[in-house]
Amino acid sequence: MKKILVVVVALASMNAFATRARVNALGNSPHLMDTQTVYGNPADMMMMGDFVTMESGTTLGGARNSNAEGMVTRSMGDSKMALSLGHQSENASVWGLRSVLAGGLFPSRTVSSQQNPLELSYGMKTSDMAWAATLVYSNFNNKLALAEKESSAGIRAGLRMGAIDAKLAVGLINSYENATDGKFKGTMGVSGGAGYAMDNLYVSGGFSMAGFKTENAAGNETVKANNTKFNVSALSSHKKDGNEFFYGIGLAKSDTKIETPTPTERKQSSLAMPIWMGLEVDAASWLTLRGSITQTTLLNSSKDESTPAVPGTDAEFGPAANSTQASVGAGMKWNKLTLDGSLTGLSGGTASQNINGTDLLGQVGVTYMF
Amino acid sequence: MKKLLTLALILSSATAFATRSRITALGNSPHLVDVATSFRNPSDIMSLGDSLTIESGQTYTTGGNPNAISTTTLNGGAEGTLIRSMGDSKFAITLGHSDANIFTLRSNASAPATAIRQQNPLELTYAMKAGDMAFGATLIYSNFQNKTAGAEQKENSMGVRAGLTAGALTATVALTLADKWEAGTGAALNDYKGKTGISGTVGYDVMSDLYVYGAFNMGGFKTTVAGADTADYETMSLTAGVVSKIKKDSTEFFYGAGLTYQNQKQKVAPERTIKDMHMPLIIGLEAEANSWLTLRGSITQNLLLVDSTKDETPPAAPTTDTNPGRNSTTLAAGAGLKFNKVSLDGSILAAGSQILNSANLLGQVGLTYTF
Repeated sequence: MKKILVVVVALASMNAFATRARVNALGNSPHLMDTQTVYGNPADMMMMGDFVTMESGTTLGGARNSNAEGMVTRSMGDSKMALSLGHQSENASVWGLRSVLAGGLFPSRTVSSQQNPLELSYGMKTSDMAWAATLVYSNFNNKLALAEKESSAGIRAGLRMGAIDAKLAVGLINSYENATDGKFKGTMGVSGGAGYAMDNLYVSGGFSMAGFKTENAAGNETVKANNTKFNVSALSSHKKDGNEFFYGIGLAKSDTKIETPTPTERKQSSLAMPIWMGLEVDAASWLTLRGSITQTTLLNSSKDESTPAVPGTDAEFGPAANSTQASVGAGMKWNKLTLDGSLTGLSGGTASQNINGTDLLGQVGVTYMF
Repeated sequence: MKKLLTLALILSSATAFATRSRITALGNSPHLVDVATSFRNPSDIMSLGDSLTIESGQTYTTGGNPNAISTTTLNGGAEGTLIRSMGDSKFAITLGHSDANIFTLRSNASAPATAIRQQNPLELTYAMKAGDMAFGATLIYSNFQNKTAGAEQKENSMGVRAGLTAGALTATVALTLADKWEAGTGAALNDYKGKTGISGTVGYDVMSDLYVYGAFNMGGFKTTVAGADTADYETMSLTAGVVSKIKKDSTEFFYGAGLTYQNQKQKVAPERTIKDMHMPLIIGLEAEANSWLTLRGSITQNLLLVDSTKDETPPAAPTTDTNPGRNSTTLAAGAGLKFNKVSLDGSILAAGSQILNSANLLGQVGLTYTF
């Protein structure tokens, strides 16, 4: 309990309860705790006060993190509930690999994300431990044009106990179909992770297993795919005067197997060692600046091979090409309200290096702490 | 030791621990000490506080294939440097920094042997103090290989830099040990091999307000296309100069003059020789406009008394033969915004622009946090 309180107090000194812009600006470092990390480990909401957060975005956003979403949490004694609207869950868009449909597999519908996804979370504190679980659900049925259906369901659970955190997520339903292109059906996806904090050091590991099958309108199987990922990382975090600096190193492995009529089999594998450094600084009482730099170096190989070989698609790198990326963001605080955004000209692999009227804040979100 | 401390104190009064945009705005004057100058003199990190610098920029990758090198984008890539103390020594790690010597040489290679820039370059620096002296060394490394059948390509580089600051004296040396690129296989192999390159600088504070310096750079490369030599390039340059600097109330004004000579030779037919001699003048200023804003700028111009360029490919007549040369007056300006321990630097009025508005505000922005 004491350690939980220490973490909460340390984080409260900064603009910690922010948005996905904050998490992205900090390189998605695994030690972060934020309103956004609740979507990974539901128990994270027990480490924060009650809040409502709203993320800007499009209604029919095709890319992850480009959609509108929001979440509200409310305490009830030692327990807490959360309601999230519009969040595109990894259960569907990554585990189920629905993004492959954007590659022309279903020509009639390139965007088949969850429709009006709803998430309900419940968490409790018991002594030194906080745990929580989330139910994920979406459903859509257009009975006329394309005779289109989409549905997804999944659960996530997580806990924080002293210096330990753990999470597990299971994707139960992940399906999409239309009368012209056929059906997409995700296999049961499982992902999990655990972390341990030792003073300034945080070590963590995670895995995910997912897959899907597609059928054409005639009912014939067209694609069958499975993906497995593992990662481990260690990072050192240093906090002083409301500022945080961290650096870390990881090892990530990914294997994907895709079976299709032609070519009959395609295997993709990668092994990478990312290095990252980041900082978050209270620039003024009302302004927080944050940034990170990441690079995959030394160990950095990937292979994409088909049977029979497909020239132009097959590829092998060892080591791979430039991957250095900087991300910078800003958060503005007014009493209990924070407004976060990424400095768009300074973030991502195509950064313009500019801060001006065109390249100012992007991916903006607002958080209010009750 | 005392001089190092004095230098650190003087520099800390301005936005000293800044980014490459600061160095650019100050005309790359050789007397500067900054995170960005530690890529020339590794011992400079002993004069700086512990810091993390994040430079915004592009990744220079399109899909799985690295872009061809561009001569205009040395500072266009994302990079970051972390400096940390360990007792009397310091350690730095840099991600993504393109080495200037390697970049410049590779940019002179022409198609189809167009060498790509370094991929995921990594630099490790170690520096320490011993009495009045600080010295440091940097290891440079990059490696890339595309093994895809029909798209084979390799790049690798390795080098070392060393530098020392001993009282009023500074000296550096840099060696390029490996600098290779190749594409294709068998008879269709195109390759670029850098020659062992060496460069160095020496500077001396004759007085507290007068800095004299000299520098040299030698390097070259060979390229072959399908087994035939297409280039055998060598370059040699010498520089000497003097900078006078005046500091007052956290404001620094400096002016100086230099003499540069460069001789470039292409030994494979058609043979080509380019000789340049210039006397650049520089005037620069860095001033604390207020507690949170530093403005800086510099103007440079080649003095017309010594300003010659000759580009010839005998027996044809020279394609360029100017003495004195055309207009070379260049303005560089920038601004640094300071918020507690974090500073945000950028360029203003860049590329000849006379406009400062919402569409033309800060460019080449970088962020520095001092611990």
